[in-house]
Amino acid sequence: MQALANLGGRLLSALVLIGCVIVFNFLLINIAPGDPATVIAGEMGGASEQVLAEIRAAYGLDQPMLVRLGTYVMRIATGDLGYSYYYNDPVADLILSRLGPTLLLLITGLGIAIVLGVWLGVLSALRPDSPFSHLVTVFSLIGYSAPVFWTGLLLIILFGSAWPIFPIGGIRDVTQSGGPLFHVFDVAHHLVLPALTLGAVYTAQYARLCRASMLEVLKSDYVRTARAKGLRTSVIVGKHALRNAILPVVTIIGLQIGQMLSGAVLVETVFNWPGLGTLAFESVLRRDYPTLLGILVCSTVLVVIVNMLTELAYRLIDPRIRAAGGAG
Amino acid sequence: MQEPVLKVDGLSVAFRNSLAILDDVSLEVHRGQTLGIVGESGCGKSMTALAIMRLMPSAALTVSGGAIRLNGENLLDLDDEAMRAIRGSRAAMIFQDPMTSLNPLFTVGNQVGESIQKNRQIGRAEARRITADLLKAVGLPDPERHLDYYPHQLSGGKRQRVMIAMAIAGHPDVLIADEPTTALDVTVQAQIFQVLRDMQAASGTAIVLITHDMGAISEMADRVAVMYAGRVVEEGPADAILAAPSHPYTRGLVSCIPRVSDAAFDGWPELPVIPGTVPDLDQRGEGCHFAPRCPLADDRCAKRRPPVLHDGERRCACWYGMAGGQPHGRI
Repeated sequence: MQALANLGGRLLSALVLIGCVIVFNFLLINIAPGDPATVIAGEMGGASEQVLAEIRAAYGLDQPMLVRLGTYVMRIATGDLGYSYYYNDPVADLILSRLGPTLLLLITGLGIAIVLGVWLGVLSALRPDSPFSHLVTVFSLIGYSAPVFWTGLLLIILFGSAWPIFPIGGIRDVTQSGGPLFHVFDVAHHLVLPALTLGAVYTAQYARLCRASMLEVLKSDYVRTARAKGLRTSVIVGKHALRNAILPVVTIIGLQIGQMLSGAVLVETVFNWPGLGTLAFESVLRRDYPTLLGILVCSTVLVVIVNMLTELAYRLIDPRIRAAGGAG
Repeated sequence: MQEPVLKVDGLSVAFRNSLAILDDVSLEVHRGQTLGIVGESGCGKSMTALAIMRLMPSAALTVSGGAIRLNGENLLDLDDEAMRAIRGSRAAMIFQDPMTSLNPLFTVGNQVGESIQKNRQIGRAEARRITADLLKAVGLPDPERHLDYYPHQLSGGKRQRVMIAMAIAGHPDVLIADEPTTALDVTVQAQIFQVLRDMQAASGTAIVLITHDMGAISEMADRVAVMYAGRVVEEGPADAILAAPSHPYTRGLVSCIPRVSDAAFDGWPELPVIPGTVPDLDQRGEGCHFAPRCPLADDRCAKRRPPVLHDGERRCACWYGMAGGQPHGRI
């Protein structure tokens, strides 16, 4: 019962948060200079003042801002994210068609980062003075400080040009066709470089973090107890140490998911990956406000969901948080 | 006489192969008996315990000489895997701070059960049943319920009981207790000592009790070894040494025990202290390490290592002889 009430409270506060972000985003975009009507008119090849006024009336841009805000919020509540000026498509449809590739890229990148980062971090913490450990530290530093687009370009040069084994753009090869299995393989093949690029930064961060927390945990009293109990090294490290060392990594994953979305914008642009990132990028250039706002709403919801999942994971791992209940 | 369960013979431990942390430490403890190791912080008590378990906290610390015999077998000759098999089964250890010595993320049942399953090939349900029995043996009320508790749901005293349950799960020949009650309050200390005594009476396990508290020694120990700056300065039956300490350092320690009789005469007198501190590792010469703080010390004490004198069951390392140049008693 307590847990249910707790969950209800969290959902409510998540909804309020999303609402605030929607209003804030709307205001922010409206404050920004530039008139969408002139952009639309420009796409049409120029127009007179009268045509501009017609365009404004057609899209409701002639209404006062508060009225527009009210209309916007009401429509979002019913799942209507508006209509793209540029694509001439409902924004919701546009986003749905781009969400899949972005989620695929994010989840794969995150998966690579978690598995590889934690693995590298743990291994280097077990032998902190070994050459391998120093190598991990150097790699982390480079991976952490290298900009995503630069890493992406390097990978393109390396695996697209010098040793061309991976495709360097798009999500599939339109010149080929085959069964569903071929399709899956084709997408996976195209996914390798973008996912590695996105994953590299976070692999480096998680490796650093995991190395540090693992070193700390390995010095702890309860690990000494585990050793005094005569447990196998694999149990001491894999059970007693790792589960404690992973806690800060879980926290960081939750905090960084927003950053990761913006990282995806860069990666998608570099690799021409047809996801939300490229859509956002194009929408900014085209002052396609409804699309941009829709993407912002969508990423807000994504971040909130991921944060709730992170908290859930944290509770599953750490009984102390579970016991703290609502206060946690 | 019966062979001792644990016999530490001339054990020396060095830091970076040069600074001596333990210097020719010899100890022994028999089945069913308790050896107290007493001394100030930094005198090598805990290091001795960790060296026996081969759990020294840094690779820079190495055993540079001596032997550690558990039922005659030298632990220093064993490879890591063989030593791992001995830990938690024939030799077990409990630690100073029960608040941090249990893993916060696993239940009591899980952590104690792990110790049982390490020693016996049994299923989870069976391990759970034995765990409940162990928790009962260490005096936890309602053991079934405590199986599913996490450490943060238990008090310090209960956590230390869990540590003891974990340590005796493998029926060890020797249990090393490194300041098991230092982090607990006095009433809980008495309870924990009672648990250890009951356990010892039931199983005959030899206990090595490390403490800085002379009161704990008089309550628990059959024999006592007094350590100072990495050396054993005096060793013998606990009651004899407490009644009539020989080494000037032991006399200082004993005189620091507050006594009600002191207060009876003339209000509370000022508690005596031993002036100075234990010398740092690089400040320890060949002579008696206690010399800088010793009221009796002369040139010879500072320059030359004191001889180990034997008197019946007692031994003492002092240039001034068994009685330290004075009748047995307090300074």
